[in-house]
Amino acid sequence: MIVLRSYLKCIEIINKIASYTIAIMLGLMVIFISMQVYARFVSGQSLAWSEEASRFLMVWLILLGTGIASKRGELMAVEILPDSVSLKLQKLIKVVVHCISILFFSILVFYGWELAKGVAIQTAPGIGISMFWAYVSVPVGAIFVILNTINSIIKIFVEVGDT
Amino acid sequence: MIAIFFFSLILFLFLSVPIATSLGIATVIGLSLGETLPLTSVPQRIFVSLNSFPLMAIPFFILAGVIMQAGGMSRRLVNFATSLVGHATGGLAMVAIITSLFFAAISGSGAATTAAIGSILIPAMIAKGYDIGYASANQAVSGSLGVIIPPSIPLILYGVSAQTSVGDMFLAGIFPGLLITISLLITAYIISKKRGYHGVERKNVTEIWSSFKGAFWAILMPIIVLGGIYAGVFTPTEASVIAVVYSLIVGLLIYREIKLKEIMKILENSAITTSVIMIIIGTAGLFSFFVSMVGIPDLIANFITNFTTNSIIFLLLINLILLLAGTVLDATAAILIFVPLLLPIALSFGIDPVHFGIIMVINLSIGYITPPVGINLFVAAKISNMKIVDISKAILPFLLILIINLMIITYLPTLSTWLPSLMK
Repeated sequence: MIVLRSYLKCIEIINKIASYTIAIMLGLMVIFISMQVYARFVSGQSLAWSEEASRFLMVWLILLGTGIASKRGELMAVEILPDSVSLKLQKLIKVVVHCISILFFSILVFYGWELAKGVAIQTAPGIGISMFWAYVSVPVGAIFVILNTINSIIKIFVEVGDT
Repeated sequence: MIAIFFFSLILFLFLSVPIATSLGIATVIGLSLGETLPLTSVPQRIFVSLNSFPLMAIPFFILAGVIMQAGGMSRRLVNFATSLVGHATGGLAMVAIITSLFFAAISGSGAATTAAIGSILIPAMIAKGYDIGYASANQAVSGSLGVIIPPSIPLILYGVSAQTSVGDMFLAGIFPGLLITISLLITAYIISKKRGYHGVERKNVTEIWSSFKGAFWAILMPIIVLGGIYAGVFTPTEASVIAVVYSLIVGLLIYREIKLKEIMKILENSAITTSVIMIIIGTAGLFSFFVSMVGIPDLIANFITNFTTNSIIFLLLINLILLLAGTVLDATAAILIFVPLLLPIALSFGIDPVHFGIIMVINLSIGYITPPVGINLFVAAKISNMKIVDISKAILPFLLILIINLMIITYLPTLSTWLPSLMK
């Protein structure tokens, strides 16, 4: 139990940090693209880095945000299973669904990491960093989703009160 | 292999596995069975699909919508519209339609519109003696207009996934949107006349002027955003960031209803909403890549051409499929799934991709007000404390009106294609 509790506590802290991070990322995207518009209309020259930097931030934001959304149960799903099925069956289905998620995101972690290593020699033309830092968003985001999904599975079995 | 692929996709969706995961894992199954590609293409397609500048309009329009809701624009728009048409028969119902149209035009989201306008107007309408079911249904329907009136997130998504200009999609939505608006206004008038829903007290010119001054900055916004896109000054993405900056300036400095410390929360909520919509774009990109690689659109095309080669019947069939899909799938997800499946066939039937997009978006937006999964129904029912069953009954007459509109828009392509062709 103590292990589980500290796991949940840990996830809570990571989620808090991630929430701040994606909020700041979105803020940066607004600033960068505003600068780009300003540069194009006022100084008449376009910025080389702003679009690319914002695109990479957006990909990171989406993947990190997915973890938080999965914990909040906000990911879009087709919710047509009847409410009438027994509580036990509902729990079972939930666990199966979470396991399918973990399977998919594990594939993303493994192959995403392979891919990120593979593209590491390429350089992003606009901001000059290795493409590794753009592509690694996929496995990192996927790990984050898995951590939050485990969190949801624990909560199905253990009544720990809402965090 | 293709049978197993589709079977697993439908099974996962039915089990309520998140749509993004269902699309991803079904494609992984398809890829592993066919041994056509290495699995590193899975993360690669996800990254490539998301790494797109036109798509960046989505987080920015979401953010602009959240800021506007917090910034007091919706209330001012309602006041202004009430001062103009509130005194007519069925006045408040019309105010709900008009402000929803306007708010949707700037926020780009139907559910947000229903929440923002409905929370003001549904209680006001009930207080004025309107039937609670009618008031809620009217609001839910008006909110779903939001996705047809540009700028709208489904139109952006269609443009990106069909590789059609987002600007063209925005132009194409205008007349169909107006047609639906006018028919809803007429419906509101007829129903109100029959049931005796009178207007509110007529406002004098000074009152109209002062409510106009209040709403001025909100009214100016779509003019800047859409005007900029149509005049070719901004790209849709640039316009969306201007919408963010503009609504922030109005909310912080002019209306002064947003406090600086709320901004982190606004950014965080918008970022999570963005993820919820856009993670599907990632795995749908993977799905669409796989679907076209193994030639599924050809299979569907063969199947359909065996059945009919008549484009009128084909369009009817498409409408049926999309209406049904819309009842269980969110419009954004359905667009991403059905564009790769159906657009190639539509093109072979000689249907304009812009027109096809409008048909698709209207069909799927009707899904926002149909059970079992109609987000606008849920939002409106929550505001008015109604049961979904009751509000669904009140929706029926509106559904009929919308389907008539849909038929007109489907079989009159000019309505959608004329404006974009004019701008070329």
